[in-house]
Amino acid sequence: MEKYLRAKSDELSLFPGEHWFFYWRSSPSLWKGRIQEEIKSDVVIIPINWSAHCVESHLSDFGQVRPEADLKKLHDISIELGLSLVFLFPLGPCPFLSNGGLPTFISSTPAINKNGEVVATIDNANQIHKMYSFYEPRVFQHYSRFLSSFKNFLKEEKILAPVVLAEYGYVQDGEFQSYFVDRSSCFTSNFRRYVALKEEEGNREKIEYAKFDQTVLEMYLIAARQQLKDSYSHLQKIVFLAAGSNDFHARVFDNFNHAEAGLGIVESVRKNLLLSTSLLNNSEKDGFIKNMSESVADLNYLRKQFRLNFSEDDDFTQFCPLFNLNIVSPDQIKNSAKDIYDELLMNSVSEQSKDDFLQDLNNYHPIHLIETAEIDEKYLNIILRRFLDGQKIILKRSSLTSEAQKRLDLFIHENGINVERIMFKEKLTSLSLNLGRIIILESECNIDVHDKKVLWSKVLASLEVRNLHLEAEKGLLLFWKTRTPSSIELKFEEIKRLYLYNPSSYKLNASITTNRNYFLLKKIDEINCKVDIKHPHINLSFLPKASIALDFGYIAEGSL
Amino acid sequence: MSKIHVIYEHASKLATFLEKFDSDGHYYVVRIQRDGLAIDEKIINFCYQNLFDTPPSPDGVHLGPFPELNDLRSFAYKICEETQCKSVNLISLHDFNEAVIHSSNKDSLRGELDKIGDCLTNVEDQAAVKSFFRKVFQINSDT
Repeated sequence: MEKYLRAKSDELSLFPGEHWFFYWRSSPSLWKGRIQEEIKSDVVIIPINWSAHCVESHLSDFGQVRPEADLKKLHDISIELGLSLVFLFPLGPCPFLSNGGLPTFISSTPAINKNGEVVATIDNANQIHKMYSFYEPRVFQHYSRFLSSFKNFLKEEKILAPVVLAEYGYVQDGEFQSYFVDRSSCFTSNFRRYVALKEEEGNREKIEYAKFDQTVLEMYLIAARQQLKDSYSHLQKIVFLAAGSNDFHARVFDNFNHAEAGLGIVESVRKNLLLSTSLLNNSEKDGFIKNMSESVADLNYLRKQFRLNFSEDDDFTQFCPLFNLNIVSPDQIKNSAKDIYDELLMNSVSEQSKDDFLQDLNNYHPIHLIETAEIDEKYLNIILRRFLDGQKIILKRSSLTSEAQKRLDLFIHENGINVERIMFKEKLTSLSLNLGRIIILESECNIDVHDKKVLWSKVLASLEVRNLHLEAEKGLLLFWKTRTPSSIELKFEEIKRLYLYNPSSYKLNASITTNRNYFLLKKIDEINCKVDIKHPHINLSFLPKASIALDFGYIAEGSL
Repeated sequence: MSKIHVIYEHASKLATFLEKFDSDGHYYVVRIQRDGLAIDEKIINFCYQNLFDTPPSPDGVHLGPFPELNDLRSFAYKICEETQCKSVNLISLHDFNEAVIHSSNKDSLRGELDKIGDCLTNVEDQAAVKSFFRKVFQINSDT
């Protein structure tokens, strides 16, 4: 009964698809009724609980011994109800499970974060879940065995549902932090062994902890890909809101931090990460966080995340997230110039991994800034295809391999591309063909922040990105959405909605300066926010936890 | 009246977890939390500056350095006074981690921290309580 009540307490779900089905929490006889009652979308997400399938150290059970481990039954129920089924297979600790989901007999070394603290989370019923190290060699051995059993089970039962590898984490300081990362004694001893091995191989370079983290994670990832083969869909980073180490300490002492949670929501959407608020209790979720989550999420969010088919045409009148610049960057590397882009584009900046960019997942971004190194011929070909499709791309000459440089020169020559070279703070080359543009930063001069800002505002203006100007006190969160105009708004090309939130416990002020491209249409959802409009300025005063949304009709420079 | 919780550790132990942290033989504060309300960073910096005539090191993660444990206790007490809290509980990071490992929920963790911590009571606050009672007693005796 207690288990059932806990599962029921997840009911206040803020993001689409948050109703994951925690099958181990209820009796199999209740599964069908509960899925019908609780799953609000057409996708049922089943997180695999490793420890729930462990009978003995070397045996896995998928319903042969315990009915509550019967995944075949769950599969059949979802088919009967006409729902798409997605399995989430853990790639590291799960923050919503005891021992992070590790079976008890291998939960021996508690995971330690970069601060030296035991990694733990608090769930919606105030239970503490401790994470355990995945750096122990025997954890890897048992993980591989469990993967093999799971693969055999899927094969024998002819289950074709996609298996998504789930790397669980949280957002802290604006960056995704994985629960996989660990600094326990297990990590230290394996790291030393790894360094010694590399030295034996003649590698004299200093190896950083992050590099070793990546190597171990890759090891698990390769094992999972090899075992799951055709069932493997992709690796999905999943953010748990208010589940980082700062949040753990704050929540232990009843200090829920709205500002950090708000930033977590915005950063998750910017980075295209799946977000779950399931560890928060209803009082923490209610009010500000609920309001913010509902406005930030979009209709196709879940289908995009799980790479399921959806029709863009179905919801053309609905608002969807707007990002003017998409930074394609390597994982875990903080972009030093990100603050400049955020300031110039009023936070309408998203981030994407190289893999996601190559798979064309979010092709609605107007401009891609390629920050990854080592752009080889294959990668360049994809960039050039995007350019021919009319997209706008910015890249650095130094990122191209020598073969890619030759390929680019040949491409320009063969296709009669219009080339312009200018010197403004830095040496720039612009390639254009119809709507497509490529801007190449030829050299990497050490210009100061002011010059960098001037340079980037010119680059963005040349790509026809025009934004509003915002003066705001630190702490204000912003988020943009866009939709196509309705029949009575046809003089505009786009309707842009700007959400502003004050997650802090103090007052904040902001001032927006409009320009000839933006027409304020209306203000909506005002909560504790005072608006004073003195054209072209919109002055806003926010009380703690205040928010507002402003709708602007947008006309591009060329149409004026 | 709320309580403050200070989690600290010796630099030699922190250096085992932190990649770019050199052990200087001092103590550092890992976390400061107050029940139900965050402590303004300005108060924390003011208390440090007031005791050591210098701002804390700009590490951004750990607060310090504190040459001796007693320096850290003085600092914790100063914060307790400035924020008018009832008491301050000092817990080493090692003890905090042990408490987390052995607690199943938030309440049991808080109970454990109260047991294992080095608790300093705000004397000024107690005096204020006494004087309040004295006043009440006087009023009662007058009537």
